[in-house]
Amino acid sequence: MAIDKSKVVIEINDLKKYFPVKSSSFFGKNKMWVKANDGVSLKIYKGETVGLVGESGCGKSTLGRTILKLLEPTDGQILFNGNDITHMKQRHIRPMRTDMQIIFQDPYSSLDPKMTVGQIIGEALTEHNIYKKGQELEDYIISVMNKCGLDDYMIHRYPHQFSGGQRQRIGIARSLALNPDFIVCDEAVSALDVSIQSQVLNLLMDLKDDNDLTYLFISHDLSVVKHISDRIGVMYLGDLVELAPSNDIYVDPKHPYTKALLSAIPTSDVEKQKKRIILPGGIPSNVFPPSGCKFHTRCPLATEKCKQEVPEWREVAEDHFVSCHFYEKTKTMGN
Amino acid sequence: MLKYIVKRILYLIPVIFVISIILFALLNLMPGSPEQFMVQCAPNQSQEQCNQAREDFRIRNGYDKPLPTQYVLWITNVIQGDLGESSRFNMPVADAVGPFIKNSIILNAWVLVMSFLIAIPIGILSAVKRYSFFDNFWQVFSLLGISMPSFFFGILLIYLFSMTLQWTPLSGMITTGYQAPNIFAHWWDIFKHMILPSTVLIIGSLAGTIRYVRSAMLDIIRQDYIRTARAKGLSERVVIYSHAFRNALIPVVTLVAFSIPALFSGSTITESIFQWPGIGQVLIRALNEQDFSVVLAMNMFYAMLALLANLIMDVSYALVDPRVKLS
Repeated sequence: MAIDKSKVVIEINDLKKYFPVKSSSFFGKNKMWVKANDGVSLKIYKGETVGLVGESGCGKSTLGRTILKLLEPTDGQILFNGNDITHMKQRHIRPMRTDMQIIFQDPYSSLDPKMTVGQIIGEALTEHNIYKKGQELEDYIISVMNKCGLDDYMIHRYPHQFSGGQRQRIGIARSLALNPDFIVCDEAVSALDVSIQSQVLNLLMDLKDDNDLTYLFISHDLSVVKHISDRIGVMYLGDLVELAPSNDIYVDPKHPYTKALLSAIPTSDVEKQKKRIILPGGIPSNVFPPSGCKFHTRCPLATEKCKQEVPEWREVAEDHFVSCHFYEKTKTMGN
Repeated sequence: MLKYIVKRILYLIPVIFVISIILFALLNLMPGSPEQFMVQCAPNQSQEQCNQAREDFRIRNGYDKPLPTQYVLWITNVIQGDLGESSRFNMPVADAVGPFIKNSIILNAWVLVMSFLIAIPIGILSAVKRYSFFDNFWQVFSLLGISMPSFFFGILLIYLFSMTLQWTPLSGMITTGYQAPNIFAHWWDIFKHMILPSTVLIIGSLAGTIRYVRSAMLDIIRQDYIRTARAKGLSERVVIYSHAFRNALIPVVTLVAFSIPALFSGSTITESIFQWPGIGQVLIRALNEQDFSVVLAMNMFYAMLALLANLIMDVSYALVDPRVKLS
């Protein structure tokens, strides 16, 4: 299905999610915060897949969960299909959960071990009064299971009787059963081995076409994200640093961090060995993030300006957003 | 499942034999002998007469035979259902201890049921509202409960409720000389006597159970599938009770199964304070007076109970957790 730019499924404006960290010194308590998301803005259009990449701990999963209000946002705004859900109470959100779903990373721990597959998939359907318990519900569950590549007889089995790939299919079937508009795939394939990864990815893409889905696809695996996404966002230390159509970002990365990240993708082409850009140091603490541009501590292009001024989020080419003072120089990196 | 249970019970037989040998040997290693308590020498008896009387007692009871023979005699009788005769009560062991065990069961069954009924909801709520006032209150309360010695707390309760306020009877199990007009009045009378001792025992056992349930719940609440349940849009009640608690129940089952032997073993200290005619006191006296038959029979009984509780635990694990397979 083509991307419908007139319909915005998710719009987030300057979204912030801070987690309190307790620190008590001799002189008393002063509250400190882990700034997991520090002002992220993003629009996701109907029918598109937005990939989200970044190092571990950069706030990708937090963003995915905050958008779905599985975590309470600290500040900012979340619009879902045009409705402001930022401060909506959980009990008002509950009916909307049929439209927004999530597939979790770990297929081993995200399924209730005491429920059969049928119960896992069917529970939300009866809870939201979509189906009553009975033959009709069972038929529907089986049809969803078949769509996700699971066989009929599996309906009465428990999660522990399945392999990782099958379990992830159960997770997909569970979220799909509610017929949602929008699914956050939170590292949905990271826990699977490579051959199963491609199966599950293809399944996700097929389901998207059949069911008019919109995905936010979170992953740390750049090749996976490239395969599935229409647009890709790169996150660093709680901020979105670059957002562009997926081809553009691979061909012409504007942010030095993106460029370094892309240089880390292993290639099998001996002729065209890329030069690896090694970033010095580790990822800074997001309790005390660096001043100015948060990336300046590791950026090969950093200047005095980067330490002081927070770079603006601007559109530098069509649909290509970046926050960097010297994005033109990024090309020169690694040469 | 049935095949598994039968197999397990068959496995128990050699274990019980080994236990019986160890128990028998240990008891005979104890210094002293039963005839010293059972045959009292009168002042007008000579030492010789006295020794003769004791020797007669030993021969009569088979204590003169070598230990292995004694063991074989005893165990054959036990297998045939004859637990021997209590030297203190002068009657068969089963008849002697039966009523005391019954009294202990009445008290302990009540304590067990009540402490789980109280502790499980408190444990769940403490975990759900972690670090809240409610949680902290029960943490402190249960710590106090487990730290306070039962003899101190019991006497405190007696002083307050029996002596000062006169709400409850002082001690014992039934009111002396009271003829209950019907069965309900009889049980009501027992219940009134039970209030104080059961309070002491419940508060003592609450601490462990609350903490156990709380930590089991906390473990589960952190799990990914609880987040999945929330993402499904289930109400918080369903998330907590149908997803979290059902899974937290698995470790709690162990605790319940382990409490079963405690039902029959009585609580010597609390029973003594409240003069509750339970098995705890009887067992202590039997030990002191070298009432071999009673001590052996009771210890064998407890060993078998513990083994049985283990079996029940394994089976109930398989019942509550689909991941556990018995084979």
